Amino acid sequence: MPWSNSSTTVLRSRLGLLLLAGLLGWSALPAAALNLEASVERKDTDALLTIHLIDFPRDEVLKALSDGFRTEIVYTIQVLRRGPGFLGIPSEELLQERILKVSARWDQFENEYQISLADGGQVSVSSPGLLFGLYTQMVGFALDLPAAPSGLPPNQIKIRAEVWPIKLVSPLTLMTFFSSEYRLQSKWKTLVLPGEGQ
Amino acid sequence: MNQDYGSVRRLVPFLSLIVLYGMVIALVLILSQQILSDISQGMNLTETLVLPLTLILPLALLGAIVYQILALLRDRRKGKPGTSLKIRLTLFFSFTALLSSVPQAILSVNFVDTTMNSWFGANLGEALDGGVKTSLAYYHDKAQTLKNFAESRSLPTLLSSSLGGTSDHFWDRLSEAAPAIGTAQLFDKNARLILNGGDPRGFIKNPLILQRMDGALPKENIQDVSILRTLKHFSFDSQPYTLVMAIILPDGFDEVSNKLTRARETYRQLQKFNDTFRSVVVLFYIIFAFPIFLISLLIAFSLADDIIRPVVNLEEATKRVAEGDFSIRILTQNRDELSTLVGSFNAMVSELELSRTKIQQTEKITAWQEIAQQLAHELRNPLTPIKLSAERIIRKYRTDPVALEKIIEPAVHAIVHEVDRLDTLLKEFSDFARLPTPVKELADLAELVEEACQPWEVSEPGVTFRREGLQTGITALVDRKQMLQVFTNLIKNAVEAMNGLGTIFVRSSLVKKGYTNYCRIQVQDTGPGIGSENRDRVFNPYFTTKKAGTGLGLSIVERIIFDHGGSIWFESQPGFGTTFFIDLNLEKA
Repeated sequence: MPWSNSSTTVLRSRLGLLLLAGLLGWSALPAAALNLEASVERKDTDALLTIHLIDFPRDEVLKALSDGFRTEIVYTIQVLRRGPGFLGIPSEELLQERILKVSARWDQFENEYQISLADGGQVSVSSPGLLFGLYTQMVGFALDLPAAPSGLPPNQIKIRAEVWPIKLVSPLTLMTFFSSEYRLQSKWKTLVLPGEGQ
Repeated sequence: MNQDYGSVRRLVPFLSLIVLYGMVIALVLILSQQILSDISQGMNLTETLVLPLTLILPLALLGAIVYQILALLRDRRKGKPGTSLKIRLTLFFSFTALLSSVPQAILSVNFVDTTMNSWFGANLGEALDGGVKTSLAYYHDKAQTLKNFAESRSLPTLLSSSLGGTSDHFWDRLSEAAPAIGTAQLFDKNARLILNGGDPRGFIKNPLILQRMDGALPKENIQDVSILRTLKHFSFDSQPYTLVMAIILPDGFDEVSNKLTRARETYRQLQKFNDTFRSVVVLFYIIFAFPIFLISLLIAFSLADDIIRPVVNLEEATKRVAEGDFSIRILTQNRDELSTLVGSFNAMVSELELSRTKIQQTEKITAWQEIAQQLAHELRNPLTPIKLSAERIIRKYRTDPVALEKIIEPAVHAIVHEVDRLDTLLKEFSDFARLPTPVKELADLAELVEEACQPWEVSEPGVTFRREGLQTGITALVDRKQMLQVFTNLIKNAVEAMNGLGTIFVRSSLVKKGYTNYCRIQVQDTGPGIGSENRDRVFNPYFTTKKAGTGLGLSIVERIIFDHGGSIWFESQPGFGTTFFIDLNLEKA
């Protein structure tokens, strides 16, 4: 075709790729750095999870609390059965997904920090040190382990944490679509359940 | 009925786009509703259905538009009729869509902005702050009341004087001293209740609390009621006692305080992120509006197509008419101004066709009159020597019969020769006049030219044949026999023009006139050329510059080419030679 001379074609291809990359990149903006450490122990039919958040934005969270805002951590926990699937290709079967939310706020009536725990309990602490000691970790959270439809037990747990330095109210949550500064997200952490092979 | 069906069929592409437009709008509305619902439920937006809306849908629409633009540019480069008009119309519709959507966007964003500013204005903030402050003041006042009374010097006296008395007496005295206190309980060292009074809701249920130190106890919420308590240890006569006093806050105080706190938090967030949120609203508006704008562009392309179709048909038809095709008519089922124009055009072409037929008939009559005159002239030429020879024989027979023997033979020979000539003349005329209707079949033109050249190449050693660009595979619907006669006549003319000595060039090439493809065949000789005085008569019947020629060869050639829908002409330069050109229509020859 007459219009498909090489330089024009290359230019058009590059413009197209740039446009596509821009759209893709924009729609999946990477969240700011947040890391977590986690371990799991098996106790009867339960798994006891311990999670510590690293690189937690303490100053930001303290400022938000002092400004009267709520702050929240959302843990997404997936219980999986990983094994050979169709044609022996490794596959993951999601058996259970739990969303756990831990939030904190400054109670100006009692002059203390109030923490709403994942199990529904509430804890009040008076100092930031105590606050972060409780807020940025979850120790020994009991997770019941369902069996796969095949009857085999799960053998893997994946955990991801999201920190909202300010727990945005609706419709301000729209802002998270365009910027990661309002919601820090960790990568998925994979734990192998002790006593179960891959 | 057929007209109705045609109208519907013509509307199908446009209706399809309208349906697509509706579907896109519905999709955008559903997705936007889904997003807003997800937002209200605090879901993560990247895991919602935003991706298809923001990426796949616009990309698909963008792809369709890019395809349309490329097709438009290609049509423009090829000079396709109506392209410029289509570009202008598409741009016009696109700008119209843009111009109408931009004010809407500004209006919508301003509306959201104004609404938020009016709903969450400074007054609301002050009211919320005031509400929270009032709640706090009330709360702290109650807590301070408890604390002050617990630490008052009169309390031990009041308690010691109440020991051994009734609970009613105890409560009467205590509520008299501190009317704000809601309940009071006095326990001995074994956590056994000795005295109590006031609202039972304020009584403690868990005696373990008594082990705490002096001071305020954590606030307790029971259903809608919040209870502030304070604990004080006393000792009378070496016996320890514990007093627990409580103030019951009004029903719903805690809930209202929480709502106030939450409302103030929301207000503060909206104030803090006001500017950012405004930009986000604009971006979201663009995300939702962009696919709709793209589908508007597609509709603009379709509308432009629909509008220019009659114009394009007119332009194409005009070109065909200019090329001499008067059979073309434009079909239209519209009832608008353009269809009136199309109707007028069709009527005009019909008139032109009728006029041309009349002209052709007139020309045919004139041509046959000329041919009749020429034929009469040609017939008269041999008659004169025949008459002279016959008269000479008769005269000799009458005056000198003896000498008749000497002249009879040459005179009779002359008569026979002239009669033969007349016979040839009449035979060729018969051939010319009764040229059969062509029986057309697909034939390779190069092969026909080659077939015509070969006998002459053998019989005329003094003539060199050169073939240039004579490619096989170019086929046309022709009468093989007649077309062979055309090429044979042209080569024969060329050989005779060069007196059997020279070069004949035979060429073929593909040419395009308007939208029609032709094969152009050239036969060029290196003869003396045709003088300017004879150029207008070359194709006339019975015109010849040769002594032995009948003058019908080129007329027959012209007639055959005409019957095949082609054209023939020549260029000649005296002293250098003559070239005959034949254009044969490759599509309908």
